[in-house]
Amino acid sequence: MEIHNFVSILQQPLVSMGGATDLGLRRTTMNIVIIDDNAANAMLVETWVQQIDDAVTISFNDSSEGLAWCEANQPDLILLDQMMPKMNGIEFLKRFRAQDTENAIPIVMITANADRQTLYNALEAGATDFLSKPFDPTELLARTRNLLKLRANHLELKETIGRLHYLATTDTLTETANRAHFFDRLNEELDRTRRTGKALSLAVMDADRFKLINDTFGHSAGDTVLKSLADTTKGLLRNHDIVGRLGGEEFAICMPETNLEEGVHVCERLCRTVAENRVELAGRSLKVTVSIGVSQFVSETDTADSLMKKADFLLYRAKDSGRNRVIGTNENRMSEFPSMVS
Amino acid sequence: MPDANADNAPYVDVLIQMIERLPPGAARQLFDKLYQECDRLLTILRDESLGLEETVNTAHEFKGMLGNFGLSNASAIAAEIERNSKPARSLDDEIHRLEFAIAEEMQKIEAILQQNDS
Repeated sequence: MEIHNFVSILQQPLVSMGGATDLGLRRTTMNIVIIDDNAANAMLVETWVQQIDDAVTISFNDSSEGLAWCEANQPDLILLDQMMPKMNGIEFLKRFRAQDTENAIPIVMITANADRQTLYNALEAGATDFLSKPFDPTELLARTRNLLKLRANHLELKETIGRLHYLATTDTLTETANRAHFFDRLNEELDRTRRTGKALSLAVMDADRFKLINDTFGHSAGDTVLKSLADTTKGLLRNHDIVGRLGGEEFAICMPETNLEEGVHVCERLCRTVAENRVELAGRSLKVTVSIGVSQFVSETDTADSLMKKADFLLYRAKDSGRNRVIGTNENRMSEFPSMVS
Repeated sequence: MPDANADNAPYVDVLIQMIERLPPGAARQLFDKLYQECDRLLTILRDESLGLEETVNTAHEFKGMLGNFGLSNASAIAAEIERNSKPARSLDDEIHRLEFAIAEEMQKIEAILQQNDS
């Protein structure tokens, strides 16, 4: 195995936010793997592709070692010989594509067997492109550059989609689910609850006298309080609980597989922790409290909306009862919730 | 710079491209590696205990490698070995021809490399 600039591959950031390179890529380097059991062929291909400014290369003469490296490191392009002992190029393709299900990493098969059947087999197994031996260096470099540009575009698109998904689903101030995404997740959990017959509790939490904080210390201070509340809440819950910001200073918490008693217990601990953790604001230490209403999934007819209304009604009862407290019920009768029928 | 008109063999084109487009010394290093690999593969082919499949695979590897470096005569003989290998058939003549063709083409390549070095 020959390794060139191996350490620098590991040290370089995967994605650069800097300016475009001479390939027109936003990334600083693109990692190319050459797999060929013949050392002279591997060195020839490697020497040529090293002429691409942004390329960092690594070559393997053993296809099994190459496969293990590629699976662990996800390179940007693989230049693959077809006929190799132990594992040939087609077998390599099948195994690699089994884990690279998006076919996101381009693979060029290089072979002296330029017959149609070999070409079909390679393409069916997941080869992106095909190059015959003896190869023309100009063609090799042109194909390599084109595929690296496609790879870079793919990575940028993936990054953009990830960013858009984040923005579409997340309240960026508190890094909790936004309202729409919270309801999507809540509905998914309710479907699961209906299927499994397990419990589910829903809490609605509101910062007490938040308007006063905003008016006294400014909106930036209000943002700090909200972020602190969200952090405390996320820190106390389990990974599969869902926290969302419904709007303003109001948050919702979905607790799957949690009955009312357990849900109230968790929220009481949250209420206490929030009151104990003072929020530091420009040299001042501020005590913040929350009120929480908790409802529980009781019957098949319960919906996200009805559970939310019950929890919201109980939240305002907690407010009316003096704030900094939790009120929960598994009561399902509409008459218990006058605000819902008015 | 090799004189492309002196010989129109494919290795001349390979050498011109390497000398013009690769860093200084790269062509020499690549052909040094080719020498080593030729030695290795010839040793394998000469092994009388080599099975048919291994013979065919080695000849195939030889063919592709020599072709990539523009040694077309030697590559054609390697292709013949790949095609004509049969159980219990002696390949001594073909291997000898292959060895000779490699030596002949390498000699010309070496002359071009030395001309370029000077």
